[in-house]
Amino acid sequence: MQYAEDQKMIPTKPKKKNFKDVFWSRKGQRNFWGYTFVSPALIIFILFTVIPIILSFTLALTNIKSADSTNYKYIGFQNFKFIMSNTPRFWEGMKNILLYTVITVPLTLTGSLILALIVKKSIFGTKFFRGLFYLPGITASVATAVVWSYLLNGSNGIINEIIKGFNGIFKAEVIPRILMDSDKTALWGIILMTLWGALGGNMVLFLAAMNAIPSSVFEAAQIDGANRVQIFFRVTLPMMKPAIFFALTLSLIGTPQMFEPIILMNANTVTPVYEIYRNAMESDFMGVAITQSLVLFVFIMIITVFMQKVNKESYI
Amino acid sequence: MQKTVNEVKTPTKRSRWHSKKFRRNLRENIFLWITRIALGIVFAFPLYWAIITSLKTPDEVASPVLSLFVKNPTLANYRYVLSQRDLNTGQIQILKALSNTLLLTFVGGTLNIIVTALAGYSFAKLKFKGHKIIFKILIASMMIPGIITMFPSFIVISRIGLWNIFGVVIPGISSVFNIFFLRQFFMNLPDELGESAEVDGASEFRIFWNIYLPQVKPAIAAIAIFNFQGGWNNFLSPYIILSSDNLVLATYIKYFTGDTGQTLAASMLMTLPILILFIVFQKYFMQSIAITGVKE
Repeated sequence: MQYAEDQKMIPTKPKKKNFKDVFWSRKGQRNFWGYTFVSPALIIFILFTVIPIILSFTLALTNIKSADSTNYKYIGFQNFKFIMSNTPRFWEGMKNILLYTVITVPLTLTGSLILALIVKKSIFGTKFFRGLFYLPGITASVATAVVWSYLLNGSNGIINEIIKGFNGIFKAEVIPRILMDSDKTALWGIILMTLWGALGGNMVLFLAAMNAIPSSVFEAAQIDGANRVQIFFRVTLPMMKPAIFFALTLSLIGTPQMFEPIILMNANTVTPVYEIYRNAMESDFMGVAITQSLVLFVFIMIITVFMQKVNKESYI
Repeated sequence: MQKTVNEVKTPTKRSRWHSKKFRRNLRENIFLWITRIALGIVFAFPLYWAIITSLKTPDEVASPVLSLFVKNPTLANYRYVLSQRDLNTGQIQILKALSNTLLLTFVGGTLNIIVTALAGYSFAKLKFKGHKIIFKILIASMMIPGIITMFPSFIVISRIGLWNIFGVVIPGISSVFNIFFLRQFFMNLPDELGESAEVDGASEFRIFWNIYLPQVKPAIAAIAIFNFQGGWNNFLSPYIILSSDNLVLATYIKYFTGDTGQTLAASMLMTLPILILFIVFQKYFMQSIAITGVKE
């Protein structure tokens, strides 16, 4: 501090630097190459993130019809009024997605935590089983959907045959058959498929988090006389908190946006993003679609901000 | 884990059986094995069922009697899928779909690595004027759910004349998460690494390419795997943008309106390459999740 003040005292004649000197100085070079290196990424970012965000907030106020229409005008908040009363399918989708999120997120997280515990211990064949449980995660979503559509088909889909057999024992419809063309059960088909696909990825994440815990911590707990259950709940789980919050935050942002499986499985159900997709791409209601995506955006942001507040050391 | 300091004497077979610890350990292993096998069957069954169904004749597929084995295995479904020709051009469809998918996967994936590594390096090491604020904006954008940019970006793609395969590839050649991820890795490398080369008069690009980039190979490998999976499995934007005579593997399966056996055969063909890669590089696949997801 003192030094800096001394510097100020010495009267120096401001030297006019010419552009060439600045450019070829070390700092100038760093700036030049810094901007050059970052510019391809920034161009993509501006084109496909910044501009679309701006478009979202402006085009919601217009009656734009489709992605390529140039002829649209400002209509104020009419789209918002319109979706309040005239798009029941969107709100039905909101209900569906709430159910879907409440079921799949806790099941995926606890399920993959249990899976990680099961494959943690290295004994003969461990690598094989880890690979096997992760396998659904690498299978293309299209292929997965084709396979599950077949497993769930109405005439001789094996899952429905099992359900039929099960109901046969009780001579009553204990569990309804899961049919993708029925609006009552299609969502359950998607839930089953999602669980099958998503458990492995989180399992690997949790496994890595578990193995990152130093073994001295476990040893200390053992010496203190903690049993396995206590060690898991009092040591392992708290130590895994960052990984669990990371997975939880990602699922809570991603799950409410589910819609691809509906297209892929021709499922007779609806979610908000599926409705948005139909309005934007199939029915020439781009303006309405963008307005609906703003509504969904608000809901997801509430979740995200809440998660950030709950856990400050979250990964993102 | 169960070892204690006092176990100096190597136990004989007999004494091992009588050791409480050994028996407990064995019981635990047997329990784990049974659980793993039971769960393994549940996880593998859909794929097994798909494979055997793809080998069935249409009659057997439609038969209400379900059997765990194929009576008369046939490759007819695979032959059909592989030989389908485009009605207009006469081209074999799956070859066209495969070449599009490869373009999407390899060209898109490689460009993504280069673009995001350059940006990550620039933020970590060059620290140009304004890098902090730009980086903050990028990170903030990760908080915004994809839905807000998804459909408006199709408007951008349409407006700048990319409503073709380029419209599928170009938006994917940069991603904020990869920039963020690689920046972390570059930041952990010491600045001195590049300084001596700078004194020797190496250009900034050479310092990046020859000195820093080789140091972050594990991170590059993780991103390469993610990009490969993402490109190979990408369905939505090819489905929306590309016309039905310009398919990728994912949309080829969707447009495939044959019977169940044929659709499943197509799905299995699409899964096979990534399955082989997974078996060969299982370690790296698992690592890629572990190092991107767990804070060091």
